[in-house]
Amino acid sequence: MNSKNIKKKKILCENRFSYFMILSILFHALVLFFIFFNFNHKKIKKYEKKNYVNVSLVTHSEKKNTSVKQLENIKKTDKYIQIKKAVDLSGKKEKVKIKKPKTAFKKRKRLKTFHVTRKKTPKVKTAPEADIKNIISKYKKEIEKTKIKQADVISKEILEYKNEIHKSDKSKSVFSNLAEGAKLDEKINKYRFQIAYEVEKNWALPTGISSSENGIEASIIFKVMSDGKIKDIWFDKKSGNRYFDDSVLRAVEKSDPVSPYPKDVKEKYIPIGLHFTPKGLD
Amino acid sequence: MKKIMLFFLIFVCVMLQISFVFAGEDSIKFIDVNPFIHKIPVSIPPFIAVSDRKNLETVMQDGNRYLKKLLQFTSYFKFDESNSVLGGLVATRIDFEKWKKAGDDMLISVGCYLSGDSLEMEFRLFDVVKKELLVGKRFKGKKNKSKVMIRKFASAVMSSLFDNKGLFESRLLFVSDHGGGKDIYLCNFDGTGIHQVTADKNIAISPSWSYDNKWIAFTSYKRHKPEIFIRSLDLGKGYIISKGNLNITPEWIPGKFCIAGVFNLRKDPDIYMVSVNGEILKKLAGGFGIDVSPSFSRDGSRMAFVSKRGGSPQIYIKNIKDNSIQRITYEGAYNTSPSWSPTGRWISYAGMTKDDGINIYLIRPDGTSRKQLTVNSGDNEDPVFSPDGSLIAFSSSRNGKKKIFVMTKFGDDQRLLIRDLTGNQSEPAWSH
Repeated sequence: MNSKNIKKKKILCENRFSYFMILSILFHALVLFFIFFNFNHKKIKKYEKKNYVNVSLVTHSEKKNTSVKQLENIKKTDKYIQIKKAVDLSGKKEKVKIKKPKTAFKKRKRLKTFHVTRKKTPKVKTAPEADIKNIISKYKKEIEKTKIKQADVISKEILEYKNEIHKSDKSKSVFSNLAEGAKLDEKINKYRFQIAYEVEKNWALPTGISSSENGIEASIIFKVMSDGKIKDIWFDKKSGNRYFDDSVLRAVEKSDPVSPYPKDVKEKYIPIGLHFTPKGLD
Repeated sequence: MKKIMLFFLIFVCVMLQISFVFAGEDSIKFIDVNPFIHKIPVSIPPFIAVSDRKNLETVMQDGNRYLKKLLQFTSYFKFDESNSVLGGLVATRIDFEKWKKAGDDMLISVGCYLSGDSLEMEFRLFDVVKKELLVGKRFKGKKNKSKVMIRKFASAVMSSLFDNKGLFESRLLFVSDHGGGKDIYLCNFDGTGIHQVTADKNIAISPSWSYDNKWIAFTSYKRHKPEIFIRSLDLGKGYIISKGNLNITPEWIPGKFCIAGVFNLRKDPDIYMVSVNGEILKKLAGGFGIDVSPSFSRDGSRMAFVSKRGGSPQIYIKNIKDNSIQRITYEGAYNTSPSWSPTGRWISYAGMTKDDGINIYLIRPDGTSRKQLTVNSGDNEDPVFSPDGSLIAFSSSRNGKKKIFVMTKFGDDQRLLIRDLTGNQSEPAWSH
């Protein structure tokens, strides 16, 4: 086989490679898009969580006996300061309780009541305590709920991830299949070139014909059965030159039967396309 | 919105994958195949004598050789020298597989019948692969006319397979100094059967065939200046055109009984169309510089000629209808002797380069696809196409003296054409 065919081989291989590249890029794009799409939701959720997390940070700081001033530094909202004042008034014991960040944070909504309690604190010390306790327990429940919700969300996410992984696993298996197919394809391709060479050896074309017309060419397609028998020869493109077309057909028929399939190839038949050009003379 | 986008993306991906799958399965990648054998492998097994074998033996052996020689001359065929023998003349009695295995594409069966002096020959050309009859001919004639029959069959083969006609019936004119001076000679297409046309022992050059192959024109100095002589090959009569002191390079004009020649009627030589009586009909090319060597396309619509109008002799083409002129050769400082192919698709010419002497080139009439046909083999001049357009005859000094050679139109199979004549031979002119 001459260099042009070898080049073509290379091009075929490159084509195959590029197909795989495109396929993989598309798959990656698909997977990435899924992740990105879901990630956006997560980000939103995480942002919500962060609010809670901040609160819990406050609790941590409490456990480390951080002072109110430090808390002040952390959160400088007016409302918060007011709460702190109320806490100051209510005494050290209460401080600890109140300083439970969750409550502190959640109390924002009920600031007014605290204002009231602040005024009432000197009179009834137990009332705010009980209130606070109630509130704390409420919020504890709420937090638990949200935690459960979070857990749900997380488990869902995990499930989704798992699904995605499964998908990607599936895609991997597709790739591996393709790779195996590629090996087989390569064998078939080699076989095709072998047949092309066998036909080429039988193609007799006088220079008087091959050189007389520029761009004279014909294409033939035929099926090769496993034992090398050629069937169903037809012209994909005729040259228009009677002798040229006859010679092309003769070359194929003269080559019948060609070599049988390579060992691993178990196709029903292999279609082979040959493009007859007298370029070798120019 | 994002969901729509996502859906769209997935859709596109799926469609692309589907298209890949289909592309992989349905479209066949075509593998390029180039011809491996550049001649058709043919087998001509010994002829079969149907009757009177003893008297036919020499006819059949000579005939076989002659048929091979004819077909070989075309450069289209090569012969299988195996000694396979035919089982019969017709397809049903021939074991084609034997010839197919030997690598043959075609097979010729010839049968001969002799009754008294009357010879009958049956020719068949088979396609070995398809097991089909391609050409079948039967001729009847005198015993000594077997060569004519074989030639006719060979012509039928060429015209049936390639639409090439007229090669085996064609003849060549050429100039030779074999007899002393330069005289015009005539021979068959294969260089055999040489006849002398002029015997002036002076200078007779530039022979040209009329398009009915009955008349020839040439330049002769026998009356002490170059004049154009026109002569009938059969009748022996003729004309002389003499205008001024220069009458050279006559060329017949297709479809007309008049010639184009070079005459020096003004300051420098120009090309005129002249009737055989010497009447000037038209100026075909003229102007600055010398214009010589006219050559016409077969339809007469275009004329190639050599002109020095650009400084050096180069080949130009004139469209006769609109009088437009185009220069087609730009490489080399000396390009002469244009000759049209019968199809009008090529022009061959002789070009000189500093390094490699004079060589034959092929070029398209639009100046593209220039190809060098002879390389490093002395001076090669005066190319001329065979009437079927498949061969080019030319003169070459590759063996010392100038001899006439022939090659395919693309430079293959260069071989000596005229072997039986001593001295120099040049300026071949192939009949139409």
